[in-house]
Amino acid sequence: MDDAQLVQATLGGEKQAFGVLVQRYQDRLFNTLLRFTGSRHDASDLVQDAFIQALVKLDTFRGDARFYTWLYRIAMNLSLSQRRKRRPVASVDVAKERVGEEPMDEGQGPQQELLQVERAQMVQESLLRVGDEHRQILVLREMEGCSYDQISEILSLPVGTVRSRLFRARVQLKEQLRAMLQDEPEEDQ
Amino acid sequence: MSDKNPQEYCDDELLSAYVDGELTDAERASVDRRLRDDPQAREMVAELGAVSQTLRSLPKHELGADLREAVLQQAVVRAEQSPAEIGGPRRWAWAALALAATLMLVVYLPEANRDDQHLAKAPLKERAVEPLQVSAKQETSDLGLLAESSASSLSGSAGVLEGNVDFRDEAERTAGTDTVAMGTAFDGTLRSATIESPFLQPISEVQIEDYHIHLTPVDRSVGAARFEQLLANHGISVRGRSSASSDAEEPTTDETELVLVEAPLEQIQQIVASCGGDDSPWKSLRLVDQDGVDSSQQHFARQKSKLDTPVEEDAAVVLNVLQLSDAPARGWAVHLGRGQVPSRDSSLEETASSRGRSVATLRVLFILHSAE
Repeated sequence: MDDAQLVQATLGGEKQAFGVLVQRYQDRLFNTLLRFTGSRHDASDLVQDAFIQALVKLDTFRGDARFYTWLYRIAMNLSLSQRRKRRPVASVDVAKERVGEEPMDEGQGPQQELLQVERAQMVQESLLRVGDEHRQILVLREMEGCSYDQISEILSLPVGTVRSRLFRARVQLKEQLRAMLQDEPEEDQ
Repeated sequence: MSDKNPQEYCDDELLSAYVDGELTDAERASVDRRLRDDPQAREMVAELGAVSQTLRSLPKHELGADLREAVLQQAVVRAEQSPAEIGGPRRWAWAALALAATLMLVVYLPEANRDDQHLAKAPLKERAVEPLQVSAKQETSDLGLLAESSASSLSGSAGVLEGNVDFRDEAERTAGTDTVAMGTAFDGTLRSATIESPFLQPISEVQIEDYHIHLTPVDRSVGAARFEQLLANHGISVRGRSSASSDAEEPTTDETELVLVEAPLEQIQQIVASCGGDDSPWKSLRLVDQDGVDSSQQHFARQKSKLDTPVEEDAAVVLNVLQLSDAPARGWAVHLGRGQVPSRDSSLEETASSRGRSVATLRVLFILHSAE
C-alpha cells in the first residue's frame, strides 16, 4: 500500500496501517533529525513525538502534500520549538559525543575506522555551528536529497530563496570545514 | 564573502545551484562561460561541491528500535487529552463555522459599518459558487463573542465579500471556490449551524491553522494599545485603526478588542511567549482551535509544566498547541475593534491581494478582553 492508502486506512479505523508508516519512515526521519540536533536521544524522542502528533492530527493532513513531507514539517517544528525552550542548547562538544558516529566501511583496519569516525564527528560539529535556518536546508538537500522544488514545498519558501539560502548555508559550513577540507588531500596521500 | 557586491553574491548563488544541477539551460551556459574565464569561480564550485559531498558522506544512522507500538499507545493517551478522536469523524462543520465567523469578522463586519448603498454596489465578479447556507440555532460556543460582536452588523450583508480584502489562500482561490458568500438564511446569531455548501470542503482543508487566543489583562490600565506595542516589538504593525475611521474613538478598556494577526509560526510563538513573560500585563491566556478545543482544558500539559505564574503556564500550554503549526513569511495585523474598518484601506487591500496567503502562514485572532 502506498502512503495515501495507509493514511486513509488509518483514518478508517485501521490503526495498524499507521504502524506501517512508522516502520517505513522512522529510520529516515531519525537520521535527518540526528544530523539536525546532534543528539541521538533528542532525535529519537522527536521521531516518536512527530509520529504521535501526526497520528493524533491525521485528519488534518491534506493529501496535496506527501505524507513524509508533512511528517517532516511536524518533526522540524517540534525540534525548533524544543530548541527554543532549551536555549542555550547543549554545547557542540557534548553534541559531538551524542551522535555516536561509527565507521561507514568496516574492515578497513582500526586506524582508518578511527579516522572516519573523527572526520564524521568534525563534520557534525561544524554542522551544529551553522544556524538553524541554514542547517535545516543543508539537511534537506544533502541528507534527504530533496530537490529545490521539494525544499520549497517543505519550507514554504520561493525556489529563489531556497537557492540563496542554500548557498549561504554552504558558505557557512565551508568556513567551518575549511581546515578539515584543506587537510584532506594530505590524509589521502 | 563580505567584500562581494550584491551582483557577485547573486552570481555565486548560481555556482551553488550549478553544483546541484538546479539551473536552467541559460543559467548553466552562463556559469560555464564564467568558469572558463574565472579561476576563483572554479575554486568556489570545487569548494561548494566538496561541502556537499562531505555532508553526503556522513554515515547513515538507524534508530535501532521499533516505534510502532509506542506511537500507537502514546497517541491514544495524547488523544485522550483532546476531544478529537484519532482517525475519527472530522468535525468539519464546527471548523467551518469557526472559520466563517473569522471571515465575517474580517470581511463583513467592517463593511456592515458602511452604508448599505456601498454594499449593494460591491462588485460580484468573483462570485463563482453557491452561497454558504447557514441556519443558526442557539447554542453556546467559544465563538459567542464573535457572534455577539457581529450579530447586528451581519444582517443583510450577504454577498459583500467581493471587493473586500481577500484573506483566503491561493489554493482556495484557485480551487473554484473564489467566493465565500453568506446566504441570506444567516441571521447573525452564529451558534451552531447546518452547512450546505462547497465552501465546507476546501475551507476545511486549507484553514486548519486558524486559532483564537483570548487575553485578559491584569487591570484596566492595559488596553489594546499595549498589545499593539507588543506586536510592534515583534515587527508587526497593526493596520486599520487610524485609516479606517478618522473620528473613531480610542477604544476603552471596557471593550473587547479584536486583532487579527497573520504571521509566521515563530513570530506568533514569540508573541505568545511575550504575553506569558515576566511582568506580563496579562493574567490569563488561552487558545481555542477550530475544533473548539480550549487550551485551558489541557490539564495534562499543565500538570507537566512547572512554571512560576498562571499566565506563564498558559503561554506554555498555548505554545505547546501551536508547535504543530507550520512556518512561513512575514507578519501583519489588522485591528478589528469597533469603528475600525480595514476593508477600504487600499494599502491593506494591496498587501493582502499581492501576497495572498501562504498555506503555511498562521492566522490568529487575538481577543483582548476587558479587565474584570
